[in-house]
Amino acid sequence: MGHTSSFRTWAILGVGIAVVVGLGLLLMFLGREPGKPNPVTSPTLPASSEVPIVASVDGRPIQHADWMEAVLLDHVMSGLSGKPAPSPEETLQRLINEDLILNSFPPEKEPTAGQIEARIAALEQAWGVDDTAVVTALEKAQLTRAAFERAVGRLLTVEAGLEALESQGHDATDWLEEQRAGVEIVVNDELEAVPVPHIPIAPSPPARPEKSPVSTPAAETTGLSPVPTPASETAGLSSIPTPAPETPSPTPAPVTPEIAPDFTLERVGGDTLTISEQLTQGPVVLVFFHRHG
Amino acid sequence: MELQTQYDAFQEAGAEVIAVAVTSIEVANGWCHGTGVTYPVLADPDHRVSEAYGVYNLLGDGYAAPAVFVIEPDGQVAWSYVGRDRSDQAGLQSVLEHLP
Repeated sequence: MGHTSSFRTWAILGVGIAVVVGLGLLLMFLGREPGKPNPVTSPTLPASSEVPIVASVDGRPIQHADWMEAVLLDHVMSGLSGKPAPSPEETLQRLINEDLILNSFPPEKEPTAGQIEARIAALEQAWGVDDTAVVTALEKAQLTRAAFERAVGRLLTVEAGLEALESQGHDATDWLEEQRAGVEIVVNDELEAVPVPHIPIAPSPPARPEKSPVSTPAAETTGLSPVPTPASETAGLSSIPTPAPETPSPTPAPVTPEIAPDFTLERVGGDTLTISEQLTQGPVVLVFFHRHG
Repeated sequence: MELQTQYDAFQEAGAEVIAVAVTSIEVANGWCHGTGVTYPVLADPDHRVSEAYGVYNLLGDGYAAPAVFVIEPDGQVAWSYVGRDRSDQAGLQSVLEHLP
């Protein structure tokens, strides 16, 4: 499922497509409560002695923890994309809509890690941030990249469900309205009162080191931090309970080779690359990505 | 990927950029799909190469630390920079200055 087909879906649905690549738009769309009042009935949530449930859709529970994570993710994603964050209630309505879609159009197969990473890369490109900035923003909200990956995986399955829905001739908005009128949706108002922490998130420029690098002796006198980042620059993002910065436990001093070890590895797009062969054509800048650049 | 925006500068300086990531080729393909990356991206799924260059698991997370090696045509490492955390990356100008 490519972005083109997603765009087509939105265009047909009459949803503005000024926004790029999926998530923000989909979240916005799914967060809308279709025209009529939400058929919330008196709280008769499924009995659950241990896991707090914030809502149920025909008896299918939406866990409070999942809702809270979705709220935080929405906040982070909105911050990165420069759009206003949905309210917690809107996020809950989106989760209910997603449940309805996935229940009727379950995924034929789960998205692969490659598909998820491809969509994350596309989102990052659309937002104009790199992966480090995303991870930093997630960490400010005490979220992990794994949570983001799960959310993007869910996005892909919901998109697939929407496509399936549309392929059967339905209009997504009308279909959701019909579904919501016909199922029992229960919201636990007590849990709605749980405060959502205010998390200021702003797109961050790609991080630059301010610390001295670990380098070979030849590099020691050069300015290796062309764009030093004042410590105060990120202070505005730290006004929330944030775990201690991720400082890996004692980092061993790297022992890097003086002569580049030769290697052959598989390359993206097919074929292999041998560095000794590449060096016959000139110098090489060999970059190791932590996760991806 | 930020590196892509710097790729032209490296090429103008006569150097090829090669990126290596500790991941499977499938995931690496996924990363690059649709992003317009034109430099070679290599998968190092068994982290053999990252270990050989001394950057594997330096951050204790099972990945390579972000690092840059400027390698001369005779195989000498002219300069290297190993990040101390995952956002600690060499600046473009620093790398360019160390190209032979």
